[in-house]
Amino acid sequence: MWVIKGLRKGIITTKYPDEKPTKDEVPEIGVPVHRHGDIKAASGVCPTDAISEALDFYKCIFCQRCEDYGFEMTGNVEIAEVNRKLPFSGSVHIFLVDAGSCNACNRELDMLTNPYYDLHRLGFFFTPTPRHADIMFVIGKVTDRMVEPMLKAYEAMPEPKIVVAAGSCATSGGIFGNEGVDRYINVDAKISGCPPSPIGLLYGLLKTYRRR
Amino acid sequence: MIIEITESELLSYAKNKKYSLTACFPKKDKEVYVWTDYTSGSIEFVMTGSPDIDINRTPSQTLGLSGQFALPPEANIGEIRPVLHALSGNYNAYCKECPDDVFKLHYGPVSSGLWESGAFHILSYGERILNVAPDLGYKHRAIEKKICGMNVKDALLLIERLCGTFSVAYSNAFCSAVEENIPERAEAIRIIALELERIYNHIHAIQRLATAASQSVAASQFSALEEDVLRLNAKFFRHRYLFGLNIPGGVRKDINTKVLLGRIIDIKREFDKLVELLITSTIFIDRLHNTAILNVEDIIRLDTIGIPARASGVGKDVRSFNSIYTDTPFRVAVEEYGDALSRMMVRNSVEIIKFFAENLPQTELKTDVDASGFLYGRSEAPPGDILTALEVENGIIKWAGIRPPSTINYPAFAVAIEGNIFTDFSFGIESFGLSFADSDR
Repeated sequence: MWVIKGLRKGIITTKYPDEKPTKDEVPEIGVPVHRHGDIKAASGVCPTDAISEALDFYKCIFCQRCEDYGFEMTGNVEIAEVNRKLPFSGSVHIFLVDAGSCNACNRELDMLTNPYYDLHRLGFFFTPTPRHADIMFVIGKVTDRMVEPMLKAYEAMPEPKIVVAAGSCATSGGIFGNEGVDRYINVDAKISGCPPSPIGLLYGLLKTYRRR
Repeated sequence: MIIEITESELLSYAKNKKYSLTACFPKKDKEVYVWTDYTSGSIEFVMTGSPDIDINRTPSQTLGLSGQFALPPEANIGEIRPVLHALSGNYNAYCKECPDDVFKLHYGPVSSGLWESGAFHILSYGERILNVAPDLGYKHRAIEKKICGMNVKDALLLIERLCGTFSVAYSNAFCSAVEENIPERAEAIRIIALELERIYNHIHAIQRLATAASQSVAASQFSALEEDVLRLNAKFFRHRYLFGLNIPGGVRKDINTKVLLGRIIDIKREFDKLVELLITSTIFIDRLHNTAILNVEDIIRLDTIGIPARASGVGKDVRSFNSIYTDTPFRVAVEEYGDALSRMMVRNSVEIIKFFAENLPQTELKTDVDASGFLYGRSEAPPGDILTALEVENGIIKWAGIRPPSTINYPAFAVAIEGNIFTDFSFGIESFGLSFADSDR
């Protein structure tokens, strides 16, 4: 019966990254972009001080308050930067360290393995042990008790290894603080969002190994 | 609204089975105990100096399997209400000594099986689990302290992100504490969002149970259905997890309910077909049946709330005290048996969405908020109910106390999993639907 159900449903996997994501796949508001009006008036209203001359995407938490001050919600979720890539391009294993997140980033990572996004077709896998891992994925604002487990997990990983910080809490402290994960450990890649959309996570992860 | 009482009066509250211990907040150098009567909905806040809890004496007597438990006549409040140690953040009280031939495992905090950072101390004799003690607090971000000194509008941003998957329940509880009478259309939109959140959390729980049983095809189908609901949230409420929906006084933007209703009914039809296929698999049902049983005496002794209480026959649901739910199809769903299968089956939401979406009143969306004094608000998150207590002066928060549902239900899980085998650990914990970010605040 499951076979018939699966055949009837057909293929629902997104064609990203070969094609741009459609509006049905990313219906959320995405990052805001300044269109008109005085940007100085908007800088007082942002709760994480993300607005100075432009919007700092890594601090934005999607509270939508700047919408009344000339910002437009673009629907763009692909914001990531990578400083150091992995020297290979396939079979990348990811180890997740949750350093104090609110559980929304964890749920978005769980959604990456569902049939709509299917992380495995792009060569990424989750591993339960740091000994097999190439990427350490950190989410959440680092709490006192999680500093030591996070550093020990990093030490247990063999070279080559990189650290990816995802979400506004990990990259910049977000609404909970002023500093991200880079206070404790060198961060090689950052992905923005609160929480980062699955398409945004795929965009960031693909940058860590392919030429983009 | 906080009454000062003596310690003997506190003990008489504790011995009265009508009252459930809902919360225990520190306030200056005293403690506020909150007692709820779940049949009438009344709630009482009492304050006393911290009683002398003899921690070394409590664990093995109070947290045994039911039937082996007898209270000494001069028991203190930590022994009559064992959930008090969890509410005070003192999880060491649940640890037992490890005899020589028993295996002790510290499971966590960085472990892939739990997907979050939290730990358990597990004592087991071979495969048989003898005792489990939660070791929580790894994700403590001190949110209650952070919102003191903020105004209500800014504090709501942190409350939403206390636990992102229960964000509507938390912001509903917080907003209903500081508001008085908000427009009916805003209330109805909030209830629709609350039930959508319940739906996607419920589908996630079933997907985790199917994954634990290695039913990969069923797990993928449920995971795709959960993604459908999240995309629905993004399309109609602008954010996949419904952040930014509530503001103190109402909701931020309006929604189009006709299209929303059509899509929800399609999702419900698909969900019913998938559950029907799943429960024909006797392998799956066998893993859930008779796993992690909680009977009614355990529920009452541990003051358990939410899904595990309703799955064992005790109908605790704070939505039944909210007058907006009268004349709607809402009923408190209750099962009898109390095992993981009952906890999977006891959930219902789509009729409520249908009622509110079809009868959406035509009023404005927001009103002004002028709050002060001692306030409280309650709402029903997917695993259980939330209590938010605030002291507000001129719009600035002076003191806050938040009691998450997972704090009360983790000790119930620890009692339920005793006597089961190691491989059934994941079935037990996924059927409760709890979260470490939630219990650590």
